[in-house]
Amino acid sequence: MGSQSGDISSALKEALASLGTAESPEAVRSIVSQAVGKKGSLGALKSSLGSIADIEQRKQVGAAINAAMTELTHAADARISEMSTAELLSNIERDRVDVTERALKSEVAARLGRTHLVTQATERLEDVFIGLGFQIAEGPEVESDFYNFEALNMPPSHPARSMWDTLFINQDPQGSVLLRTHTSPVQVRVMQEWPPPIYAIMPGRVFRRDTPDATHMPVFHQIEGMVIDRNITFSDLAGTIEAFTKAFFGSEFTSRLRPSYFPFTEPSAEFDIRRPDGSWTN
Amino acid sequence: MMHPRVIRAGGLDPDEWSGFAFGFGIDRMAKERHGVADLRDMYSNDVRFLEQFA
Repeated sequence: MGSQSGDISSALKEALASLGTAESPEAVRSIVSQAVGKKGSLGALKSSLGSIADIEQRKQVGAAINAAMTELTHAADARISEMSTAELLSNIERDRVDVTERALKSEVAARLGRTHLVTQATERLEDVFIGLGFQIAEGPEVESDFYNFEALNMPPSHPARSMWDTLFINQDPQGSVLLRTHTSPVQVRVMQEWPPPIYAIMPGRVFRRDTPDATHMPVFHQIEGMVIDRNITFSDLAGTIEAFTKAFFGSEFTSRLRPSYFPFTEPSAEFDIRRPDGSWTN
Repeated sequence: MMHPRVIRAGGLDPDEWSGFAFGFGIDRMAKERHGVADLRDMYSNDVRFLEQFA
C-alpha cells in the first residue's frame, strides 16, 4: 500500500494542521467535511479504493483511511470542545460583576470607613512594642476590687485608692465589682497565667469618674508594659521608655524619668517626652 | 520597679524575679502625636475631624 499510505498520512496531517488554525466550530466542521467529502483529500483516496486490484491491499488501505477519518473526527471534536470552553470562560470574564466597583469609582470612596485615631495609635504602639519583643495581653474591663486595687498593693482603705475616681458596679466591703481604673490589673492576671520571664503589653479601655475636658475623658485608653525577668534594673526601664519614644514619635524625640509615687512600684517614676523644639510633654 | 508585693500577688517569688511596669494614656499619645488640642474632639464622632487621620 506504499504510496497510498503516504498520501493518507499527509492528507491527515494537513487536515489536522488546518484544525489548529481554525477559529470557529463552523470552520472546524467545514475542514472535516471537506477532508472526508467525496472531493476531499481523504474522501478522494477512499473513492479510489476501487482501483486497487489486490483485495488484501484494498482492505488495508481502506482500514487506514477509516482510521485517519476517525482520528480527524476526534481531533475536530476536541478542538470544538476546547473552543467552547474558551468561549465560556471569556463570557464569564466579560460578564463578571464587581460589586465593589461602584463604590470604589464613586464619591463613596472618599467616605469609606477608616480606623479611629485611637485605634491607629493603639495599633502603632502595639507594633512598636512587638518589635521590642513584647507580647500582647488583655483583661476584663469589669474588674474585682482585688485585681484593680488589692493585688496592686492597695489593701482596703489604703489612701492611694483615692488617686482614682472609681466607677463601681457593686460596692461591697467583701469585694466590690468595678470598672477598672487602669490596665494594671492585667499585670497581675498575666503573672498568674504566664510562666516567667514575661514581656507583655496590655492595651485597653479604662474608666474614671471624670468630667470631660480638653485633657480628660471618663472613658479612655491605656497601654501598660510589664517585664518580669531575673536581674531587671531601673536602667532597663529607662532604656525601654527611650526606645519606645523614638520608635513612636521619631528619632528627634527623647524621654526622661522623674521620681513619682505609685503604690505598685518602688521606686516609681513618671516619664516626660522632649519634643524636637526642646519643650516637654507629660 | 515592680513592688515585691505585686509580684507576690501575681504568684511569683520577688526574691527570684524582678521587673518593671509602665503605663500611659493612648489617647494622650495620639493627641500629642497629631497635635490635637482637645481630647473631646477625638470622641465627638465628627467625620470631618476623624477623616483627617487616615
